[in-house]
Amino acid sequence: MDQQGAKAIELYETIAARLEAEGHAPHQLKAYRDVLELMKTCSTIDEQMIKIKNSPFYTAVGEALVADKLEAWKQAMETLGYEDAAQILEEKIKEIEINPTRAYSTGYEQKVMACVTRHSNIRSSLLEMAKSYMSATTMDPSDALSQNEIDTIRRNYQNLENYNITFFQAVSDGRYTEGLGMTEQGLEKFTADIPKIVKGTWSAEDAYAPENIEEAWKELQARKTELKAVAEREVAKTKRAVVIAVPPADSRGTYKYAALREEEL
Amino acid sequence: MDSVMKMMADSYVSVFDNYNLTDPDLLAEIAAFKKEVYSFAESCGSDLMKFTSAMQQGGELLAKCSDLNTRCFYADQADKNGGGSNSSSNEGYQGVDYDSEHPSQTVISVKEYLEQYRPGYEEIKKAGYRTGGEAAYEELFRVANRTDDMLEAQLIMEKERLLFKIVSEDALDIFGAVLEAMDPLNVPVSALTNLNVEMYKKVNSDEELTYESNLLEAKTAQVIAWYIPRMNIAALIADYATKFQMAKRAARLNDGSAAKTGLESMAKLRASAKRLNQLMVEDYNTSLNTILTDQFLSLQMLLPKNLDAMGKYKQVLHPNNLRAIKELWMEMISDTSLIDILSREQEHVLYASLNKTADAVMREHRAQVQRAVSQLKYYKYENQLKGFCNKGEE
Repeated sequence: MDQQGAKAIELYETIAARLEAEGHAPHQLKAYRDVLELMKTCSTIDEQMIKIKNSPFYTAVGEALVADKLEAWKQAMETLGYEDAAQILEEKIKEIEINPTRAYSTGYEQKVMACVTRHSNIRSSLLEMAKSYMSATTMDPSDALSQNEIDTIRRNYQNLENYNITFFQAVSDGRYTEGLGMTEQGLEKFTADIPKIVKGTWSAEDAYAPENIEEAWKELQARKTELKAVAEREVAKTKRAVVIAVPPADSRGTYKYAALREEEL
Repeated sequence: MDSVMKMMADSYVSVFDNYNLTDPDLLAEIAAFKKEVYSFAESCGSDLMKFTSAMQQGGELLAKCSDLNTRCFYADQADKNGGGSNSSSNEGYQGVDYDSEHPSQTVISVKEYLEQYRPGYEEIKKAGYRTGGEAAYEELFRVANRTDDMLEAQLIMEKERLLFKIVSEDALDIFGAVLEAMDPLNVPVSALTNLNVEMYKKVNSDEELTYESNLLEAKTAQVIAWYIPRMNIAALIADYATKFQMAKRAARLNDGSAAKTGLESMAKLRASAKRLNQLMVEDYNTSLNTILTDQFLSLQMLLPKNLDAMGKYKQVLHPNNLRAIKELWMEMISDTSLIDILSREQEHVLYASLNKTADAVMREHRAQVQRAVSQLKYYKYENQLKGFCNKGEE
């Protein structure tokens, strides 16, 4: 083997080693290994190049590039648990393996993106519900905002049906709930309460009901002067004020407060 | 087409203008490719992220660009050399005339080969802030000083990942500048940019980039999903505490029905606080103390208002309000009787927002912040960078 031929082999072996270590480009890896096998049968670099040119491997690396782009995309979908999207990409990869010119026929990307968007929308709907759930179940039910939150829950519950998934299926699927960081107990309660809220059968009184105020009311009237004086002392301490929150240079720091501006109440 | 988008699209197709080509088929291919790039750029609107992601992820357009560029380069060289090749150079292997039965060396030197990257380098130099990208190109060009041997050069480029670094370093320039203009503690808003920076520091090839970039949306959504309920908890705590202080005062300072309404509100707010406290402890394994120790979550209790376009600086209520909120919260979730709560003077009181001077102070604070941020790269190059980020609107 001449020196340049050996160098060409070293180059291809370096590329193949990287592709193997990264694990996202099996088609290119195979193409480089096939080419390497052929190169090692030659005694000069010129012989290598001519043999490659006249072999089916000449276009193999280029073709493998497109297949591996899809392979890496497919692997990402598998990592996320988006099996529907991964399946579409798997089929496309097989299509390209049979006929490399199919690489440039489009349409599959939109299908994959539709799957990704659906998963994303399901997750967003559950997030909206979780956010509204904590407001709806803790606010005073007579507060108009509470009703808004219940409406948000109902709207997102309905949205799930549009994504061909039931609330129960979605909330039981870790892909959509893991990010929320809810406890097991919290998730169980959320799962049980949401259908009740949607049906209008959930009651805030099931949890903490407001305490009876009659006794406190009598005492408040009896001690009005004393209690009013307490409140007045608190009011006297109160001002109006704003500051600028100055962020730190990085996430390990803390806010500093500057440019305090005050007004008397 | 958006002017910045056009500039980006130009940078991808302008490389072909540097070749003196005569082959009509190749010229037609270039024209078709340019049309395709501009058409894609048009479809992206002002979403630069969509455009660059597609062009950087080993996408079809990038693969086509690369393939076409290589063919143009060799055709250009062939034209310059009168359609072929003869050199007696002994400075290492420089290429093979594949079409000849008797292969001979062409005159493509390492320096000439690397010059195909010059237009890209000149383009990013115009930007002014893409210094990492510039350095990556310069490192690539220096390969010509290290060897005259094309194979040796390719080996260096592969081992040191010099071609990929052009992409990754340039992306780090862009996302780094955007990140610098953000509040580092505002994790949900900066999540996507942060994850992009982490990704470009980690990846080493187009395939890794494709893999990692397709995880980004879900990873970002996970970060946001964790923060949104907790931000809502923080906002609800502040809301209930503020209303509780008002109700306490209404009960004590007013007479008759207004006082009774205040007392009723206190009772309702205590019930709300207890429900919320139970929910945050049981459902989210968190507490007021946990929220107060999180800088960003606790800031949500001070009703932040952005003072700059990216929300790096915010105008907030007096930070002592956090102590008052804690004190009020402890009263609300305790079993202390309402009358005992009313009898006790608050050590810390909630300060309200400005009234009469609110607008003037907001203008003053904005001006102050404007001076501070105007030196940041993001604002110096805002027109080029604004398409790469989601702003910190709150």
